[in-house]
Amino acid sequence: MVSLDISIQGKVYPNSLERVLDGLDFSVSKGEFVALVGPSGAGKSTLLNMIAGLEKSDPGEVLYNDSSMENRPPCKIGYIFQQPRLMPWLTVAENLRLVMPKVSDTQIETTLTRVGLSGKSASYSKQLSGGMQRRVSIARAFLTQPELLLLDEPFVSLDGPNAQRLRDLLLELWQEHKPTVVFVTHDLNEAIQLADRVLFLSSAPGRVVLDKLVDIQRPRLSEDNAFQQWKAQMLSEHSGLLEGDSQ
Amino acid sequence: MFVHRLKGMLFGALPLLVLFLFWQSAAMLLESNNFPSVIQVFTSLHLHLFDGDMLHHLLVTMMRVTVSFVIAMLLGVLIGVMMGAFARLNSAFDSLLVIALNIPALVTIILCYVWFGLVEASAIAAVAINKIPTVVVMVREGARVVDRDLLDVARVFQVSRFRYFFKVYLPQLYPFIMASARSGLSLIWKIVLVVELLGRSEGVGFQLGTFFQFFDIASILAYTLAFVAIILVIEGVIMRPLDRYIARGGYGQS
Repeated sequence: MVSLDISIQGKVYPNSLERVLDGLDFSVSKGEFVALVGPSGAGKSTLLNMIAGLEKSDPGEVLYNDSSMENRPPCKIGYIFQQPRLMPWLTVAENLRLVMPKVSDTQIETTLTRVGLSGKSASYSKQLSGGMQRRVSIARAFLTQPELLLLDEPFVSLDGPNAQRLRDLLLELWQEHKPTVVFVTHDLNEAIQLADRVLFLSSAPGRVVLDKLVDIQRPRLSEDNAFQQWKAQMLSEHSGLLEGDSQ
Repeated sequence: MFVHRLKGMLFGALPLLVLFLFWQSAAMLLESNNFPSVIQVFTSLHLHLFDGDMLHHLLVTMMRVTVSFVIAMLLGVLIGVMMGAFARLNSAFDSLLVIALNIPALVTIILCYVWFGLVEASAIAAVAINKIPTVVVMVREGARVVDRDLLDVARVFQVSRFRYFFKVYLPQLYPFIMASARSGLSLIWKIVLVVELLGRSEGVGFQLGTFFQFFDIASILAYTLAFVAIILVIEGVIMRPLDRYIARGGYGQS
């Protein structure tokens, strides 16, 4: 289990003057499910990459269990990227085995069945639809049983029922293993449905403008009264929130 | 299915047949010793193959081609990957690479023979040195366009260095390595013949030089045919299956 403390003074890409992130502070406790909601260009993906150690951060900006990371994060990470990012020269099973070399065939088949891809282990990614490729990338992240799970708008191009099924699956797996989850989305309903806490980011340069606990019993359905009320109340209190404005 | 394949083969052989027919009739019209007919060439091929020592010379040349090919590919890929991956290394060695690309093969061969003596090693070195720069250039292009997003996947999931290199990095270079191997094979065997002509006492190049002195054009063409046939077999038995392996899953095809 791992907790995160993020305190980013400012993030500027090399050869650029624009700040992507500016004074961004928040913490995620062990096993917590946090959703980050913000307009596009708010630096959400940059933030995830900094947490994952793919993007450079200064000492102290990203703390794992209260200690700075050296080169790479000190725990097992599962990352579901915006694009599936499968190796096209490897089959589905080989793609999974790349991140988990010692996994058995039955384990692979079980994981694939859970994401609705049974019998596809020998397929190459070009033979799969975009939605199926995305599910493989989800299976890849789940298979490693990560301590920290990072998701970058993972359900964005899926059709409604499939997205819902995968959201349920994500919750199921989270409740089984309780990894710490940072979930980036621009869909407020999705954030409310899944997360313990929703953080709203401002437009670029990104910082946290609102940190809100979602105190609704699970399972949450967007048709439910409690869900609707919570959302309506929050939006009335903070108009312009989804445009990245806290007023 | 069988008929279809047979048709395909016939269609592929047709241009060759037309060429042979044209050649034969031209030779019969000209009746010159310097322009032997197809039949004369094949008779000579048969003679060299079964009564002469053609097989021996072919083998010797093939060995030289193989060894220098392997050396050139290994070093070329290594240097190409390094130059593609490290910008500083690339700018430091770029001008050297341009020079190496433009030194005539003949100059390298002569220098190798003069400096290292008329021995097998200098022959092999001369061929390899000629080929390495072109491999470097192609592989470097591949290393420059490697997909960082896929490398990031391997980094996040903490894939071991070995698997990172062989399962994630290198497969992205395979199409480029394959292209340089293809062009390499045809270039190398031509250079090997020059090397043999200039300073070796066996091999196809040496034989061609001897036949040239006697104006034995039929034998020259017979040796050429034999060697081209070998290259075609290599193309069919090694290169094509490799191509199919690399393109598995539709990778490298648009």
